[in-house]
Amino acid sequence: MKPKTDICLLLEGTYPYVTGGVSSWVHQLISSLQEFTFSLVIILPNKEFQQELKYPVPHNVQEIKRVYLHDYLLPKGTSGKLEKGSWANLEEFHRNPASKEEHYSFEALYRNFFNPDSRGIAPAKILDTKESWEILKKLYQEKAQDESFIDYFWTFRFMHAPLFKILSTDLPEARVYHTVSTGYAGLLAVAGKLRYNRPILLTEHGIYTRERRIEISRAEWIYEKDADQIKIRHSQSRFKNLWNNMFISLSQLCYEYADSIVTLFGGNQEYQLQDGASPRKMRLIPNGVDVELYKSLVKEEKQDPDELVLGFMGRVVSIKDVKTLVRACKVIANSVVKFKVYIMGPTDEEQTYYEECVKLVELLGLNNTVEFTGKVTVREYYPKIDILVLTSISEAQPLVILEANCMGIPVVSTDVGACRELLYGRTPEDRALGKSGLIAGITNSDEIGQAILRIWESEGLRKRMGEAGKKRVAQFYDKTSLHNNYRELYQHYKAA
Amino acid sequence: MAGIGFRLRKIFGKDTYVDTLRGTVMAAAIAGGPIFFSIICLMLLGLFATFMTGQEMDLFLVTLVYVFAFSLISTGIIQLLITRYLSDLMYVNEIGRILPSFSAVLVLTIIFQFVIALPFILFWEMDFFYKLTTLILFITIGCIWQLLVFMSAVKSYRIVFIAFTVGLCISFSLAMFLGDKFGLTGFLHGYTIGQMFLMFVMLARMFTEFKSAIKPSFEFLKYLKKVPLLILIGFCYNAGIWVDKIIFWFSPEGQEVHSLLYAFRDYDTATFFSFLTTIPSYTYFLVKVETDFYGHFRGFFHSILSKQPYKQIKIQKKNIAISVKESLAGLIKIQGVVTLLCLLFSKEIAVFFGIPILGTMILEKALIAVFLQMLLLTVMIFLLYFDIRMQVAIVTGVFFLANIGLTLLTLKLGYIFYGYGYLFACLIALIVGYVFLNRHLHQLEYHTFVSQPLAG
Repeated sequence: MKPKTDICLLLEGTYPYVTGGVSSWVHQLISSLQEFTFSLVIILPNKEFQQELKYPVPHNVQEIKRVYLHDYLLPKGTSGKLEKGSWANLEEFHRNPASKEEHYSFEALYRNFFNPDSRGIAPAKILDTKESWEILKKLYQEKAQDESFIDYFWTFRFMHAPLFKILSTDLPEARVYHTVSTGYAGLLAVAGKLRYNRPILLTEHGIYTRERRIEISRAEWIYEKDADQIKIRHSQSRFKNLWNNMFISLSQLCYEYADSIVTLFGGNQEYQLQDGASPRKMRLIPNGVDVELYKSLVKEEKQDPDELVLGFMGRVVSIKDVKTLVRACKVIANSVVKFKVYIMGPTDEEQTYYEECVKLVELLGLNNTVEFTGKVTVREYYPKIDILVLTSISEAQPLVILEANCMGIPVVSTDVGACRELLYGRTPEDRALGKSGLIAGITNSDEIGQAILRIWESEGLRKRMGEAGKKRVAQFYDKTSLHNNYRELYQHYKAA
Repeated sequence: MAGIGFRLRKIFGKDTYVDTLRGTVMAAAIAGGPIFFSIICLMLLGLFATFMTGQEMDLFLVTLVYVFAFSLISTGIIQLLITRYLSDLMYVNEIGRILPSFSAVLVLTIIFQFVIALPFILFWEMDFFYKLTTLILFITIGCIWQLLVFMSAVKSYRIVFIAFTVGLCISFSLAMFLGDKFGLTGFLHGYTIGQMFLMFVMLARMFTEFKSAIKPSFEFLKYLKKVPLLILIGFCYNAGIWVDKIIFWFSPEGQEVHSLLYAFRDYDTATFFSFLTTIPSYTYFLVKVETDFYGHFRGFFHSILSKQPYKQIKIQKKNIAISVKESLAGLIKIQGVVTLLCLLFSKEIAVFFGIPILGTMILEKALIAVFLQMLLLTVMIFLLYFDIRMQVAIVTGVFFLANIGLTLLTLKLGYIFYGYGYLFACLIALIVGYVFLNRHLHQLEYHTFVSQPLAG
């Protein structure tokens, strides 16, 4: 028997197999809270996904368990008897996992169908029973009548088999279940709470339902009646709606059972409220940076003080909208004679997008100005930069803004995620520090270009912004003090 | 945040698999026709070969009955398996592998027939030439049954028909000619030559149709693992048809016609004749299944695959059920008329075939029994169409065991009960099969969908 750990972290498709904002956050959290022991449960699509570790596993991680969402090998054992009304409960679960119907009880559902200590039927058998078939037919009549039945059948199965997989997972026992998203990981946390009666801590970086919604609207594997006809849609197809609704329900369920709901910035909290999170449980803990490290970097003396050096720190992918950055450069090129742009980040993730960006650079005659550096050591490049630019169409709370500000580099960013809060301040106290950069509209290359010019052309403004940034990061976004927030949360719930 | 990227995999998209099942079923069903032909030929020989003594004729007929019974049972064991294998080969368009499988089946059949015949080779006190010819005939007929499976799988029905017509005519004429000249052994020689001709016509057809390599390939034996129940079904059904006769042969009622050869004339003649009365309904059924049922069966799967809403699928399902019920009703009408007529004239028929008055009772029961057996076969073929092998195995198992048990019981109860064993075995198996069929038809969509594996 493995010893119980303090914290069980529930991770969906991220750490330690994928690099990115959430992953490095998780890694730093575990590494800096050495006094707690951790177990990790990692949800992966399937066994083929098994990849190499992208992070060294900290030694306070005592157990790693992987759950494969789509291998559908559900447990075959039972340990109890089905209570009366279980099938009606299952029907409501299929309809809406977070249902508020009077006779519906998620606890009873978990107890009867999934909890390894009490379930009355093997999860592997549920979908093959006649009762389940009747439920499927009933829900088809309710939700997709006149639609292709075979597609509804597969949608039903592919939608619910992963939920069965999650709910029947034999979760490691821990003092606190900390999930880093709602969705499947959130559902797993709820199962942990119901089985071991321990609290749930939820940290949402991006809002799960919104990210899924984007993914689903693009998905080609979901059946749509007239998918081959080109026409403008006012609403998504019924099958896409089914998927969206399911993910919304999963979030609601997780919000309902979570003891604390943490996110990075105020904008996200509004979405959480919309999806039914209780304001009582909500709190804000932003991401932080290693202030000492970035403070210690000294700005390089330039050979030509008249040359403007712009930096873009991020992967060359469509969500970062690099093309808008390139167009903004064209705007700058009209007024500034000498300038240089470093686009720093891997280019191999969306190869075609990268090639399109290179073509655009050539087309606008910016070959000598724009340089794709590929993946670089950021600490070597920050000292060269005058202004950092961020053109993303979607972000949570980008750390690059904090890193740049910490060094006194002003930032021009699109108005996404927490960017406005980071540059203009969130609380009155914060706002009093002044702006540490400028916000422009999404995809608005003209506005972005003008903002950059404004900062560059006024040395006074540049200095003021640099100072404001340094102060803001040191005061509100120091990693060590932010980790203390989690330390306190962990201590509190561990003792609960 | 990096998403999980869920994916959808459809396993259902294999439209023409329906055709594979059809191939299996029809090949198994059509093989019945030539058996009718052969029985008629034997009966005609019995009637016209007046130059033979009664004893000689008895010996000849019993020899032939043994040859038929044991070759049908022994080859029946793997026939369904082979037809399934062939259908799958044709589904994936691997025509080149048919001939190698065929030669393998032929080799196995010859060996297997030889092994079965071994007790007779060793212990049968019989003149050497008669014995040798019987062995050749036994192996030839075994090969003919296997050839039939291949010929109907590749749909060479016309050749089968011609081969049987010509072959049986030769058998009849040569038996008459050589029997008249050389007696019993000549009679058997004549018959055997016709059968060998028949076999060679079909063999020639096989080898000209497929010009691939003929090196035996025993790959089909893999199906022993894949569809093992087909073996059980093949054995139980064929053995079930014969087991009551065999029990009577070796019961106190059986007469030793010759060393090792037993017969119970009253019972044998009654059942063989009754069997012939199913020809009209058998033909009706084959036509009905091919033209009507199969269309609806396909329509059902087509409605699913062409993304129809549920109510459309349900209509298609209803059509299948209607077609099944119509086939059974039509069969009952046609066979009913035939059976009723025969029952009315049962005394006359008995007299014609030389069955004693008391034996009329057996004939009457046999007539009703084959009626039920025909319905049973129909139900089984529908069940095979739906590919629910377990249920078919249960039905045939019940048939086989009930026939043994009840026949033994009637032996205890006495002469007037003879035939009830066979009759009730057919009835019980029919009821079981009908219950399965009805239940499956009711839940057809459920079974069709839920049997789909979650992961492909």
